[in-house]
Amino acid sequence: MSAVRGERRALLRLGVLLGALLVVLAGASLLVGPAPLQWLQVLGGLLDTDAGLAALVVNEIRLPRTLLALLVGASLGLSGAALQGLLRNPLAEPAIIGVSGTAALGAVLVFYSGLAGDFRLAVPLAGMGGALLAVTALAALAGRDSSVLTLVLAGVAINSMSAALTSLALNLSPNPFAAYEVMTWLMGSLADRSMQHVQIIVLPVVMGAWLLLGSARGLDALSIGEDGARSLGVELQRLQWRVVAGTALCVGAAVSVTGVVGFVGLIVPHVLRPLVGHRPGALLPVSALGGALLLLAADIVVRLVGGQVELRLGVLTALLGSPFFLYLVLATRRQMR
Amino acid sequence: MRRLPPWPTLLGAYLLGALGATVAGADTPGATAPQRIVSLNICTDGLLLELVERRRIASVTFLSLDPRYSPHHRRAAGLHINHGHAEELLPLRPDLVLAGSHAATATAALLDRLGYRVLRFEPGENLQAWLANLRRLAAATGDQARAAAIAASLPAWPEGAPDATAPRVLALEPGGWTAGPGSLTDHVITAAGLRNAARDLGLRQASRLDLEQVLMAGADLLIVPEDTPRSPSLAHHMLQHPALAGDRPQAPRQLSLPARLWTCPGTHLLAAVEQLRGAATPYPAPGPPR
Repeated sequence: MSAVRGERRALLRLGVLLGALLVVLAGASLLVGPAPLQWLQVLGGLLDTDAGLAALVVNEIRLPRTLLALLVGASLGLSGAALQGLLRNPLAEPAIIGVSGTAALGAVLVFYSGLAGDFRLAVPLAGMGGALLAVTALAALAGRDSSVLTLVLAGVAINSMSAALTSLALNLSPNPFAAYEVMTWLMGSLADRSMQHVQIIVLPVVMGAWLLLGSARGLDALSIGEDGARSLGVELQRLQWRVVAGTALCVGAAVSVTGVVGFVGLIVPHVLRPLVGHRPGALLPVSALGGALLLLAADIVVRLVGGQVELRLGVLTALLGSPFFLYLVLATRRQMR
Repeated sequence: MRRLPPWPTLLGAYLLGALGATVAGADTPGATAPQRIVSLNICTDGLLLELVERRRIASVTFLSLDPRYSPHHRRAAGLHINHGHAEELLPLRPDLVLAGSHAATATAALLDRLGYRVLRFEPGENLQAWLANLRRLAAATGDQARAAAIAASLPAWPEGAPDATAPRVLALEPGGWTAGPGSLTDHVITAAGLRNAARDLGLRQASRLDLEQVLMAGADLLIVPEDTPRSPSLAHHMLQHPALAGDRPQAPRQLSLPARLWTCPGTHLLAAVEQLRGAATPYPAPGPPR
């Protein structure tokens, strides 16, 4: 019994540490930007004591950007951990297996066609629809064929298809600027987002996170095998639908605002897994925190690098994630067969 | 009849074809004015439509038909439209081809090699450059009298000399692109007696500004393109960011001008200067810098 309590305390300590780091990075994120603002001005802007440009910049540009980095990063980290637990595949991650790609495709189709009009929720809803399609198909595939390699290859196929269709949709858009925005959708960006974006995705992200966090016990049971999980009273179908729906909500909404940002859901669970004793259930909340940290850090670096052409978020996460992915592929070669 | 051996036949056909193209494209001295003029560039389209009668214009570009970006979209209606491809132009048998110095260079180079007469034009950044181009085109098409008449009918370009108290203007395009010093937009702003805020930011050419930089520039007036709600893009979306919304006290005032004013120089620039001057007049002198 004390071992369980010890585990819980360790988990709590880890959670508090990550949370503290998150607060520090969020503060740093509010201080970074092209406008030369001192930290006192930023503070004044937040508390609205300074009614000038500083308040405008902090409240309308930097604050939404920070909040979006937190929400999107948490979504990606959390869904990565959940997918790895459900599919029992160490390489499962929303971007690698194609869920982010189809979410971006859905968002692009609705945004650039102008179908959305004034209904701002249409774009995240389309993103969620796209994500749902991919994650449902992949869960069905993983059920029939539990090979690690098959899932990743299916992801390659889905990603190629969705990237091609996204480029096609942008090329065919009547707006001449659309074709130049393909990099934003395929590599991700948080530039020039506003509180409106935060408002439209906060509800689906919170709902999705609730669904995913609630699957902790089921995923713990699943780690000892399907029969073992059934004997513990876990309904596998319900668990699967819970993770599928949660991922679609989280990733779909997040990607509809930022575009595809890859590898966050891969790196974070793998790095934090040893710290939670390899338990998939405990990994979920810390992955959310870790994902938020990673994306916030990446966004800060993007803004520090600056430059004429904006460095895309996905470029940074890919620089970290691709070598990590390769290392994982080599390390889990035996599982591939 | 004996079948001709293949390779000498092909060689002979090739040589004949090359000779024929050279003869067709050669400038015979004392030739009549060009009767089938083709334009490969939206700005040369404008020059052509202003100067030459319609029956002598063989083709203009598809961009000229777009009301968003073409100041001469009404005049271009009904003419043959090209997309800058050599295949579309050869059947028209042009005797003069107008091209911009920067775009469609491959097509222009190909037509050059095939022996067609190709004239390249720099679009120019102000009305004087446009008039110089007009005279150069007139010399090639034989419409010198008409060019002189047009030049004489235009009022003088306003020499606005903005002083230190003139309102500061920032011209924004979708995506945060702004006009640098010496550009078309910059000339119009200066002629209207206003200051281009982009100069204070130390920009030497057209640059992309971050939203924060736009706000910190502290412009009194923002020139934004008329919106195109039917076909959105992230670049246009940026201009609708709540931070730029006119209802906030710190946000600069916005003036919507059609994007077609800035595509090419032309007589429409004079109207643009007047419009800008009128929009900025009721604005009070700005206070000390924030």
